[in-house]
Amino acid sequence: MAVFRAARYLPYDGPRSRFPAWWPILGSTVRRGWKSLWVRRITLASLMLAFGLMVFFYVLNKVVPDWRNLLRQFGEMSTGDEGTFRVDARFYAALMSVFVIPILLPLALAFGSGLVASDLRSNAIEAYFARPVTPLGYLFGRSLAFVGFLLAATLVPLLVVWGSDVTTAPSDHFDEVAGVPWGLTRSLVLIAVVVALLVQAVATLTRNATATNVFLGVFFVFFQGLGQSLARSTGRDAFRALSFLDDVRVIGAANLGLLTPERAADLPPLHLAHGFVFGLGLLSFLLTWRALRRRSMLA
Amino acid sequence: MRSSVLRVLAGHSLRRRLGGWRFLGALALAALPGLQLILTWRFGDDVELFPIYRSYVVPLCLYFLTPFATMLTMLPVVGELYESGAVGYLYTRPTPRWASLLGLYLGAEAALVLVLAFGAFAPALFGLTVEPGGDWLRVAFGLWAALALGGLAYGALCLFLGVWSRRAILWALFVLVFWGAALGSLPGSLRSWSLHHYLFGLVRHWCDVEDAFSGMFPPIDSPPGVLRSVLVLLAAAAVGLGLTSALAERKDVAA
Amino acid sequence: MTPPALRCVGLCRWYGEVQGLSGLDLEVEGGVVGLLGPNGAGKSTLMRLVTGLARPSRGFVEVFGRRMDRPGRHEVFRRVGYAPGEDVHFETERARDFLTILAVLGGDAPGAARRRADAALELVGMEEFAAKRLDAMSKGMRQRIKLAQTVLFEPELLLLDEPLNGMDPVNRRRVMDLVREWGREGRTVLFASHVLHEVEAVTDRVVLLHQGRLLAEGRLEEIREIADERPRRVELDTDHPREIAAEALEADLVDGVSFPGGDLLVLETRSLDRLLTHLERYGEGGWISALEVEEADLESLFAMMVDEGVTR
Repeated sequence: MAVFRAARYLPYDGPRSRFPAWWPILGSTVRRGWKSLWVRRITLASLMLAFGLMVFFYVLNKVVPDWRNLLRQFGEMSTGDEGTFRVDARFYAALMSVFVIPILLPLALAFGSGLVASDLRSNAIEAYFARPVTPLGYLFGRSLAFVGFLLAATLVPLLVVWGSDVTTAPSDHFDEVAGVPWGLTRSLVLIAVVVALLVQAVATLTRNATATNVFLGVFFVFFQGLGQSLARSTGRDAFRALSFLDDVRVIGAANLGLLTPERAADLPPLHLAHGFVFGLGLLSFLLTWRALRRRSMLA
Repeated sequence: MRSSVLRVLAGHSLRRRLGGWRFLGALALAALPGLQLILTWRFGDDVELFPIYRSYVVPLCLYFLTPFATMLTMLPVVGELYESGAVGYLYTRPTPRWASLLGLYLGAEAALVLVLAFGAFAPALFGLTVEPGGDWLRVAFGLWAALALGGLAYGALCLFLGVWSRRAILWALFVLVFWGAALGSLPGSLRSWSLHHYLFGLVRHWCDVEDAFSGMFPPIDSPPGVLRSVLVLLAAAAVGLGLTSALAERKDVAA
Repeated sequence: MTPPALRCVGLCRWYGEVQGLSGLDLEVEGGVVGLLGPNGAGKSTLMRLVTGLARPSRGFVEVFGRRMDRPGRHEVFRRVGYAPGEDVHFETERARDFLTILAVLGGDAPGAARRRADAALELVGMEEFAAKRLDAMSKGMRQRIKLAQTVLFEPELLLLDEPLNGMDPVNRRRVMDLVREWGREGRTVLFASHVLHEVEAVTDRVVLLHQGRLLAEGRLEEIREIADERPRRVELDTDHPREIAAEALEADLVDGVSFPGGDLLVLETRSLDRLLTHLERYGEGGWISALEVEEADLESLFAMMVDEGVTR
């Protein structure tokens, strides 16, 4: 006759790893990201861009030592504004846009759209939660690696460009751009965290990489149009905050100390932009966390 | 080829579209032009809604709603069946492949036309309620007809892209958003190569919209006529369907 | 002369540098034929080439005399039923609606199509689930629906790609009975599987595929005869391996001898019965503590053929 035994849970009491439970999640996310051809391509393109600018500064400095003054005078002659061709905070604000729109956003989609989605679809998430990994730990590990990738492809190259700029410039140039690294770091960390959370939240809902990309494409492009259109039809700039890309611009400008009334004219108000971006990040976090908790046996 | 084949496949395709989350997504997109009008009415100072409908809602439908709603509705129609291999059930029947594809296309187009109708009529009905009089329904009908013709043409191209590539979404973004909406709104003669140029021609004639997006896109001095625009759009739909059919004859169904 | 139900001539298919099928020549006509091979052998590739869902890289397929890589091939599907190996359906449809759509595509008017769908559901024992959505069904139920769509028009050629996957034993038996019955009725059934006993249960005619090549073709007993001509391995656990080996060689009972280590002795022989009789004396004397003879079932035969690349 069969014998049935009462189920009993025996907690593991063997040696434990020194690392926290989310550490392997972080490691596997990094390895998974690097396996993706498009992630490697985009990251490499971004590093090449930074390297190109570094070489450009160095060579120009060797060939035309006074190029910064010449460029400034040329800008003043051609546009009447001596800051037009100046390597200052404005230059870095423009460069940041270059690194955000064609690099950070595509990288986030290439890297993140299948990350949580595939775990949910393949039921791998249950396997994770069967180990001592909490939904929060899982999300933290994934997001940390994700944000790390985004910053490695944006902030790191920008800091490299800044470093090569100040080392090749006369000493008084440093005062002009001293606040740039901190401004860039604040802006890009915020953007990277929010984008990483947003991509994962959408992927959690759609559970499909292509659908996630479509949704975010619509979000970035359609809301850009809607925000601007509403701002024009109502005469209220507040509606521009609906455009994530305009929010990024105004936050970047504020962090780099560039938010003068003239520059703010076509941009959403800073507090609304912050509110929209933070709100989006919080909502994304809650959505993902809720979806993960529902799949967790331990939660 | 019997009409019942087209009917059952169109019915299946329509049911599948209406029951999926993508349809809800497309409807949510189609609600945004209406939302724009409501927000303008609520927050604008002494604004007349009818000019806002023509100057802002119409271009929003034209340049944003049409491409994205078409992509959401039409890309998966056959693409999904190819990806899963379920298209094999259709291709191993005594019905030509083109007939199966046409049936699926017609059903999905019906769903798309519903979405576009919501995008065009919902704001017009709201406008008519708060600002009676005006040509609301005539303009809305003109807009819907133009969008539906655009949906026919772009939908057929999406059908082709869905069969052609597993990364159809990227190609569709290029074809519908960059080649279509963006190129169609550029100044110069290059835009006459974009289907959106002809959509704008129809909107110009049927909705009396002079300037797209209130200066965001340069106006067209001599927009294409109605007949030419309709013919170009129908021809594009035919080309899209023809290419899809030719490709389906040659392309392997994934294992 | 009536063309055969299925004819493959020099059929090749490459996926980039991967060979899916290579130079396959095959004719199938009447009855059940088992298409056997391990995963990746090319069974599904062959099915998809036969149905025109994939195009050959070289060679061609004819079904009832019609080339399947040419326009107009759809007409032949009035006589062909195909159950794909993948677990896919029109997920959002109900079972009856799914079959009705396919019956209309097969040439029925909608009313007749519904009746035909009901009959097919009954045949596979799914009539009570006619209104159930396909995405809410278990894998076994979905397999039966797949089979139902195959037999909607009572086809002359049935192509079944792993049709028993995911089925419970009762339905497995039921489907195997059906397949045998179709074979007896004179239909041609190509039954692909990588499970040998499944194939043995429905037919004694098999085609063995391996790495895209035709390994063997014919009746099971013929293939077994080939196997019987090959040396069989006899493994002994004994304290006197060398003595036993020397005597067996002297008596000309073995083709090969090896000593894998310890007390093990491996003999290879084509005269198994004589060798076993010879070894009895050592068993009685307590020299042999264990004896194992390599099985001659289809499984080991297949393993041997794959290992040695035997062809007919």
